[in-house]
Amino acid sequence: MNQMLEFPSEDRAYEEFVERYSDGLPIVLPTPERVARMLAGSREDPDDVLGHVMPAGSALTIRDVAINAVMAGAEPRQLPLITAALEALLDERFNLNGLQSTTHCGTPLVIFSGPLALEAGLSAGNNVLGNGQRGNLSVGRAIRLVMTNVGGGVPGKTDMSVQGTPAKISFCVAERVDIGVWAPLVVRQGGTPAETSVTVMGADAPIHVADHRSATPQRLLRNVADAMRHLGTMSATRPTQMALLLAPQHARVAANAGWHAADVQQFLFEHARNPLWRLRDAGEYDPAKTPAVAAEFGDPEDPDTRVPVFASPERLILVVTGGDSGGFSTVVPAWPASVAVHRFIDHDGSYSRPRSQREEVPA
Amino acid sequence: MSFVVHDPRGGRIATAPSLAARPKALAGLKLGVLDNTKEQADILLGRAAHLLAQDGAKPTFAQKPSFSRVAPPEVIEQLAMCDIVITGLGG
Repeated sequence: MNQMLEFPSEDRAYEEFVERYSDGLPIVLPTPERVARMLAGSREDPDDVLGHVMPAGSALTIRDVAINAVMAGAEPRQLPLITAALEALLDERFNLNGLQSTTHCGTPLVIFSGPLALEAGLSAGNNVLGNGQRGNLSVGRAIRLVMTNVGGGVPGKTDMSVQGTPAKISFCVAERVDIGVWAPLVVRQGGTPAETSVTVMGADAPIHVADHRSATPQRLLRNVADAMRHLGTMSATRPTQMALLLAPQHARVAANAGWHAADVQQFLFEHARNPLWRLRDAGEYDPAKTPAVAAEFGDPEDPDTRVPVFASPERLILVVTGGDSGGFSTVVPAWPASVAVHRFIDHDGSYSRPRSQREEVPA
Repeated sequence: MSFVVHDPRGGRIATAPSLAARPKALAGLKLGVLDNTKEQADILLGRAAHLLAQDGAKPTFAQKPSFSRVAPPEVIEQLAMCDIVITGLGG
């Protein structure tokens, strides 16, 4: 059971919260009335413990999620989505402890696929990763506030990121479901169209890919692969997973040529690679680690052996999102000491699956 | 008139871990050196262990398989046998 904090005035409470419990931006004070209204958005017991948030190791209840969701400006109907995302973050394979304390700029990318996300006010249209997307911003922000307030990931103390990234404040998108090019991610993950999935990935800063000219998937995806190969990302030497947030216009280029999501994943797996000589020239070749990675994809002694930037086609998390006004997609490389995981949420915001069955293979 | 809000910090662990007592001398003490395998960590820690050994500490070295993950139980057990442990961040 969490504590109540008492202040001589609302102004004093506000000042202290912005100073001590915020991400640097103004917050909404979690009064008992607001927290009660937020909890009405969940069917779960407010005292249900989701797990312990590292590095502080503090217990996280549904009520704690609601408190931080209030502070982030989220709505009660978004509480089940925030809760599911946090449950995925607490999966041991995700390695939240490492992501919270890394010197890298890594942060969770949160992707929702399915009808509940859009109904709950998340967006998948114009400027999906930017300003003006209240649902996406406040859901992502609630997750970050839990990471700092409950998890103790405090910049300069336990969060040792050298520069961070704006995505650390909020990094949350929903998938476009009205394009009709491929089955939505939730179905490709084994869920039903009525369910909604949340996928969390330890993410590097996003890389934008502008391409308005390519009329074939091969040419378009070679350009995407070029962005993925960027040697500054840790994915270049440690292939795990990667996300591609594909613009509707780009998705149609592939779909119009008869390509399915799996074809896009396969093409990029084959083309988003760096030969060993390139890694060596850039000083990215670690004699203690790189040969073992390279051996999975070719002869580690051959300088022309090409190392992919994600470990298998299935580990490219592919979603269509964004507006219809141009050919701009986003590559999100991985923070590679984490495994992306996902959870399913029922359409009414509850879980019909027992917790153990919500354990899924890595995304 | 007071203003009451919820504490956003969750179920905090009651007692923060405290630091072990500092040894007054190193002679004969078993020194654990944990290398997180980040670049140059082995150089930095090797030098530190060399200097501490001159004061009588007896170094034993351990490595984490990944600098981004917590040390596995067998490494923790190895270090638990030591009187003092040092570690540090490479990079």
